[in-house]
Amino acid sequence: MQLSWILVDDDPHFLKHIKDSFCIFSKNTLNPPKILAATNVTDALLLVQNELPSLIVTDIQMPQVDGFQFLRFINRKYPDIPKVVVSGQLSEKTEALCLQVGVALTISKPHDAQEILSLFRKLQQLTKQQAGNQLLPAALTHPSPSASPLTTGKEALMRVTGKIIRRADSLVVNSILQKVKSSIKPVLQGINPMIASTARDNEMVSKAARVTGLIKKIPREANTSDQMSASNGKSDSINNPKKDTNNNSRGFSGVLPQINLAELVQMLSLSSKSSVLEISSESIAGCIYIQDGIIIHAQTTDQIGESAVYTLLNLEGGQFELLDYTPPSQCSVKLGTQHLLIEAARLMDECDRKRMGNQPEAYPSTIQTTRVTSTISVLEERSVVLYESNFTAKETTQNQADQIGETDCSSALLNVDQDLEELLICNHEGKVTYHHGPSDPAQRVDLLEFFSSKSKQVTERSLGYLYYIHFQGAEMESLITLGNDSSLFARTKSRSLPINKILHYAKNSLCLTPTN
Amino acid sequence: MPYTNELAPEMIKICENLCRSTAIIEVSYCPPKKGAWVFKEGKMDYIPSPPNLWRSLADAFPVLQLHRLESNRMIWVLDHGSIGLIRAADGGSCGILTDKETSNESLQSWLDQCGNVLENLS
Repeated sequence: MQLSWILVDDDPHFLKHIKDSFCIFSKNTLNPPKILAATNVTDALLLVQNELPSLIVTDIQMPQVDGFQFLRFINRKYPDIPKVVVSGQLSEKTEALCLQVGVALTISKPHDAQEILSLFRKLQQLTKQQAGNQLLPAALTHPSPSASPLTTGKEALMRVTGKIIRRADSLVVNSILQKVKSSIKPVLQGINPMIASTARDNEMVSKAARVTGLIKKIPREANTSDQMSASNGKSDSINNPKKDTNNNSRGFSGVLPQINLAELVQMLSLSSKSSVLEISSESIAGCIYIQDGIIIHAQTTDQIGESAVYTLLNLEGGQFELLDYTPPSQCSVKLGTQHLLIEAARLMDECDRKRMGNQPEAYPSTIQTTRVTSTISVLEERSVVLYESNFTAKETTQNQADQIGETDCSSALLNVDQDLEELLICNHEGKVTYHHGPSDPAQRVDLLEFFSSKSKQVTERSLGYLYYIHFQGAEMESLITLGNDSSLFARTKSRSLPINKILHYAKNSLCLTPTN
Repeated sequence: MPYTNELAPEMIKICENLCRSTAIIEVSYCPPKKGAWVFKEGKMDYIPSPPNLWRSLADAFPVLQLHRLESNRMIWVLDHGSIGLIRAADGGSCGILTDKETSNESLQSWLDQCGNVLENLS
């Protein structure tokens, strides 16, 4: 595959000069890159989308959309493409900003042929190293300096070998899949009618029919009416053969006695999927619309928005069905999904306490166990051991944190928050779900994204999961934990960061899984 | 070898001493501008350009500064070890990769030693 470089600069003369020079230099190379040029960010974005280049070289100061905005976008969408800034005015601040948006090299604009040649060689080396990184195992991605300049022959060999390996892998996987499919097919064909007949005989079906009658009362989008057009109180799953077939052919049905709805929503949120969760009990029915893992709308027969979410998530029992996503008529939920789940958990705790005569010690252990163990992996348990071994000196804080982890999510947040100057929690999409402090949350999200990209480089070194990053300065201390679902930034003014408390909060209340 | 003048004898001495500890897997020195010296298993290497983990981590300090989070010490706690970095006023930094058994106190004390040498150099 031919490599391609995209050069972006608003100065057409400079751009042409550089492009022509690069074309001349690249003639002498084994695998000459295709040099493409754009004088503005819009054209550059089009080129990037079409070409998927192996390198992007851009200027910073450009009219309309500047280089930073362009690089920020590229860094988010194509983090693996090496980015180089070639600018006439490079200051320390500019360089720091460049680093933040994932720039691999910052170079001053070349003035003569010698400098252009030097720039070309640097870019060539960077492209080779990037290609080497993609093909070689992690242990070989940090060559010694003497071995660093790969010859073009070696590079070409590596590319071919990589392709062969990938092709071989895909062939093996396909052949295994075919074998599995053919061996499973007769078994499935035997099982499906059995499931269908059992389901028909089951009392659950008649209950579902009654429940769907309740759900019908909720106004729905016109395009979903075919799915919900049950008549005479009969279930869609009985009347609509299409849906019935779907239910039998894909997905699972069953009872999840130890999983509450909040956990189910959290699972959907973690998987970033879009779906409509239809929930019903004997007293109430409703729907929660989840778009890309975020709750955007909820409705019951008499409630809408956040209150509907809390009501539905606090149901003690009932049935649910996951339907294909259809956009709701409105987006009634404004709060973030994490926030909603925390608040729902708090309300659930309150209800439990009232029921148990306001005795926290009599808190049903099964519910707590379910809430924690079902969402926290073994690795997180290991992380706690590590936190504890690293910070055994702070036993008092540890005990407090333990208590927090075992009681209440929202009170844990307050307990953590009151010790901090700043606390920010955001989800995997960079949406802020909680923020307290004087800083601009968008900037903190940028910082979390920056460290997220750094953490990938660190974990490539076979160092395992990243638990947290701790920063110490003369006048402040801060901490970052990066999870697959959410990330957290915390800061204190003085050197008194309650690390254990924050980590326990992140683990128990945010279910923050360490990144790998 | 490039940038030899940026690697002071004091720095070599402290890095070599630290490398003798069985708990320390790797020690690095990143000069203010670019590249990184890496001390590992009794060998010393200079990595001039990316990809270079130590340089990449050291480059996080100016980004923190940009966010008004001036820090001179950074600890990454991972499953299989910890990485500590300390930065001097001139932008030079020192990094230590330890095994997972090493306590936070030991890492902080090694960073203190490196910090003292770095401050004398800057």
